[in-house]
Amino acid sequence: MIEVEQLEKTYSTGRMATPVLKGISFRINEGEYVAIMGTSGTGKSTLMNILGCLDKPTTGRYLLDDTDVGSLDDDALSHLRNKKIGFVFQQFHLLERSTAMRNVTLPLIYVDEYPEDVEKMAEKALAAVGLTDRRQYRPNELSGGQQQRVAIARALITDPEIILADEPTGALDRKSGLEVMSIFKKLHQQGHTIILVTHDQAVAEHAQRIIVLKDGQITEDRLIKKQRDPDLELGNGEEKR
Amino acid sequence: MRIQRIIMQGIHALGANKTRTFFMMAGTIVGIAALTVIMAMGSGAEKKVMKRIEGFGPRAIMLIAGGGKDLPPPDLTVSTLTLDDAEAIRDKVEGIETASPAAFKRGIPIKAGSAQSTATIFAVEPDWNEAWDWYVSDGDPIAAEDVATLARVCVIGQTLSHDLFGNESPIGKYIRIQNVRFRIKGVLERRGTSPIGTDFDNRALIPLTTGMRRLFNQDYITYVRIKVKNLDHITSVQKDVRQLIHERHHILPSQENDFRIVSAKAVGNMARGTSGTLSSLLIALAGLSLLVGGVVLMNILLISVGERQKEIGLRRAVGATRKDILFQFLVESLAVTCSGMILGSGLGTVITLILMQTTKIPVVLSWEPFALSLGFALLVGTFFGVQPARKAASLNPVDVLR
Ligand SMILES: Nc1ncnc2c1ncn2[C@@H]1O[C@H](COP(=O)(O)OP(=O)(O)O)[C@@H](O)[C@H]1O
Ligand SMILES: [Mg+2]
Repeated sequence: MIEVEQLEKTYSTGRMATPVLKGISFRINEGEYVAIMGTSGTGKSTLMNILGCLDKPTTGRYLLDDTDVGSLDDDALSHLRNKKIGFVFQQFHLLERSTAMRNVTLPLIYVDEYPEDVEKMAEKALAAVGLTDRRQYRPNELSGGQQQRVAIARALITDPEIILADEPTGALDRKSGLEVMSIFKKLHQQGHTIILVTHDQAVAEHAQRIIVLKDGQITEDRLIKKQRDPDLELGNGEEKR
Repeated sequence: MRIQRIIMQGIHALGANKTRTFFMMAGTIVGIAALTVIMAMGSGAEKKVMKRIEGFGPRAIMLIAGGGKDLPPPDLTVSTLTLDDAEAIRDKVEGIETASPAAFKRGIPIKAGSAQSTATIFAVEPDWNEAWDWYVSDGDPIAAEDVATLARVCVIGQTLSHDLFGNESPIGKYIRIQNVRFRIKGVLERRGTSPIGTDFDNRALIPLTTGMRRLFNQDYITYVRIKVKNLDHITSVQKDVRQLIHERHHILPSQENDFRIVSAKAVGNMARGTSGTLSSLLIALAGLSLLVGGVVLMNILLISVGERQKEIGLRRAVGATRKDILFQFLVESLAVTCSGMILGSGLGTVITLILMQTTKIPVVLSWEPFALSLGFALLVGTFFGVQPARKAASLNPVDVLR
């Protein structure tokens, strides 16, 4: 469970202070599928980095499963990320010279107890994203959509509670984007908590709940009523933009 | 083990970019190869020095007539060193096994019937053999009685024996030294040639008294060969002898000595001196290669940290601590220098073997260079790896993953 209270984040560069988050509060329960929406530059990634324990708020409180994240030191944050959070980035961030297999198993390097059946776990994660036959491929031998799926498999390998995806379809064509979104849907159905950051209404529609950010504040926090399968709507949504 | 896994990550990263890895390694390879060759040459030179010392006699001190600092030849015209000096050394200096006085002259014509030759004549006392660890291989040595009676007997070296008598035994035969007839009573063991090519075996020993009074007509000696009982006392004996002769010769501090004292140590130092220049050049080369190699390594690592920012950020995001990143980059640096060391040692060994085959430079292969090289590899790898590793560890994942 995620609970944030009055989060504020101000970037100070030189004499300039840029307030980006100005008092964000919400709560996300286990198993939710939440989209954080907003136009570019509103602080979505900033919020995402705080939720992912990569960054700390200037003020405010962040409870992750009753742990006050603000009180943890750098090493503890690393362990927490390793254990509870899976990241998916817009730019994939795969190791260019390593195979899909090695990329997927990367988080396991940093676990406390190395599992015995790493191969099997990696195979399972790659199967979950439909890349069983691409285990030994390197990123430059894969399409963008396939690379992002390797990245999702990497986020899954430690079976984290929360998957944080920052514009996961941002660098993909429409078809690959849909494939990626259908994977998130499946993961959600399997019980993962998913937080998706996007500026794209159509992508956000895939979630159960949308939190809209504007000028560093939440302007909207609503549940989506699902009458139709949003996968079919995505095309319309993009055309409307 | 987490550490093991991180080590493997570092090694995998090196393997994934072989060209970069090679450039990082090059300086270490050259430096360690140079170090290996230098040490092989150093040990070779040292072995030669030890041989010199062995040849001189490790426990020997020579008190030589005539001033100056160098090794023999002595100044044969200096007439201040006497038998009384030798006697005084025996009486007054502690820790001496023998102190054997002798006088000699070079290039003395010697005849045996129609055969003739020239040789160096040594007028010696009976303890000469012991002082030089050089004994007769045939017949008898010069005896105390020979010295007491001014006997006209001699012991000759193998070259002289061969020159005058061929393969026949010379024992009991007569030779003429400066027209004085001597009976040959013994033949010395073969000693070979000196480092500068003098034939040690072209000589004749005669009793000291016979030599001084009958042949050379002089009341002074050329040198005293002193042998100390214990190697540890060589410096103190040397000091005592110097002081004693100083007093006996009434030399003022402002005056130059009329004698020299040469010990095995000095002989060793002198032999070392000649091989010094080349190896200091090579030491400079090795040091420079390691230093330049280290700086190159550091810079490539720094560039690599820059290029791999996203990788580092990603590792941090999936759970690597700062220490994990620091450790991985140190591992990469150390793996480079240690592999460079192995290749460099191999290359150095090959060069040493080639030197051994094709030149006269003395070389000795041993394990020490490997140990030292490993030490250097660890040192260079750590010293030049630490800064890039720190830089990598200090990166903020949020900044580099944007
Ligand atoms: N490290 C930083 N230093 C200064 N300003 C930053 C930094 N990171 C982000 N910002 C600024 O904060 C604002 C929000 O950025 P971001 O969270 O990336 O927005 P979004 O992801 O919604 O596009 C932007 O105006 C950006 O320029
Ligand atoms: Mg963003």
